[in-house]
Amino acid sequence: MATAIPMAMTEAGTLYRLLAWLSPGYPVGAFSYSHGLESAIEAGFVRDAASLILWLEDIVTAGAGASDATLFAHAHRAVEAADDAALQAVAELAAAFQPTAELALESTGQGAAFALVTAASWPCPALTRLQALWPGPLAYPVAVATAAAGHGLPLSVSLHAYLHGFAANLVSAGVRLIPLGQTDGQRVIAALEPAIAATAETALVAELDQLAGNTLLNDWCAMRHETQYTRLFRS
Amino acid sequence: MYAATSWSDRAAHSPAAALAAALPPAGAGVLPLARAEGRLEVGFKALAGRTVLARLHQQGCAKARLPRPAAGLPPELVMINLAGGITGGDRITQVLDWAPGTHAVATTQAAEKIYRASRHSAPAELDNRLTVGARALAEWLPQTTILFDGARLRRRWRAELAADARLLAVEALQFGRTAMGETVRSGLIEDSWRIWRAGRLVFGDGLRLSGAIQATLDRPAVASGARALATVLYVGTDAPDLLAPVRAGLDDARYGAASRRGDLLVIRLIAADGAALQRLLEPCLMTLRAAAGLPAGLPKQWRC
Repeated sequence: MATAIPMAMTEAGTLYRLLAWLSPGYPVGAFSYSHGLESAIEAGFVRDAASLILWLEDIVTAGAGASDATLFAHAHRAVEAADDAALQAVAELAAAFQPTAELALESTGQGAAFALVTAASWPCPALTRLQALWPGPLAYPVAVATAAAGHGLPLSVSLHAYLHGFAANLVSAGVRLIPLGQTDGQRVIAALEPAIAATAETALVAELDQLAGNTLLNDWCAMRHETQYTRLFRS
Repeated sequence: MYAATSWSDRAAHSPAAALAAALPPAGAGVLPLARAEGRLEVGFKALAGRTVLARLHQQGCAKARLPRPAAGLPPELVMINLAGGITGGDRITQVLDWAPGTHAVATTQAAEKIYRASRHSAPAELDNRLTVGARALAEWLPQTTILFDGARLRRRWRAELAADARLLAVEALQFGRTAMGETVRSGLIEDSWRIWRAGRLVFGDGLRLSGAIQATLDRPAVASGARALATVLYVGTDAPDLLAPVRAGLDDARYGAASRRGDLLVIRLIAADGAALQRLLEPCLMTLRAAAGLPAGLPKQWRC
């Protein structure tokens, strides 16, 4: 923790990068993915702010939120340790750990876009190294974690920012689809704070080999979305 | 017949058991329960256009038999756990190999029952490893696993396929025999799946339900109160052609759906109870097998 760099500078630089990379304005196409939520709304599982909170709590704590967080932590540590083999293994597992085609697209589409934009606007050797090590589909958490570690951003705060971005994007999808008022959307984001904190904390000690979740009904929704008649989102 | 080794024997070579043995006993005067261990190794080879057994090694509670197949049908390996169920601390490893050009089905004699684990025992550990050679077709069709209240189970399932091998695999889980009024309030299930094809990881999946299992299954995005789940996987170059017929078969199914990524087909089935799951699973498998050009019907054991 003790470094020659003043803490305020580090915090400011960290915040600046995380706010840029994980803002809805960062061009990774996040707005076009709903993670199966569009289908969950059509099926009647999610109807209002209260049911959206319950649904997203599951996604964050026991679905892609939790598995992305574990992958994020391992990728971040691999970059910090300059462990190429570990980084490659995380990238491979993250690409394969996708229960449906659209969820895979959601993760690897954003991962590829993030790597492209970040390599151009916030270049760092770690990201270049990752692209050489893993030419396959690049999962979003692995791309963000690599850039974060490559810029010397601490794991815990980066992971929180990633999970917040993930959840906030789904809340935004819910606001548009249910629809909900903007204030209700913010109430949902506020309500998800404990779930995000708990998920980030768990991910810091989770083993890669035990990567697991249980949001099977969301997988069902994501699969059904592939044949949904009326759809605004790509997942 | 039982592969029950004494507690001290197992503690000597099992870190988990050694750790558990170091904990205080559940109650004064209670003897530690014997645990079951088993290892099954099976190899199939091609002989004059048929698939025959190349090797069979059985150790402890893990046994298998291979009834003579009916004409034109692939052999059905029936895996048997002589301990008659699984409980905390049990360890079973099954290693199956399909040599190039073979086709065989692996199934189980009965639904595997996972009983309550004692408070101080480690979770039961089941380890399944499959290798499938060139042009071979491996079918992994065990019967449903039934978890009882307090069951603790950790399973690892690993398959390595040649580039042009095919795989059909199903894993069905039922939480309590709901028809008999049973519920699974708490317990642990950890399922970990990995499939490599030509050396590359193409599928990873993990299911974890831990602690208050029933309350977790009641969560909306988990299972919305369902008590039975299944995942069906198919890997093969013909997977793209199978998606449409499988989806057509699941059209009205709540809740069954399929997705395809490359040459991998993933099907999730979620049902109120074991019987409802079976009503989804059997037609789904029959549709899939027919579309893949496999012989009609399901393992004979499923009908027992």
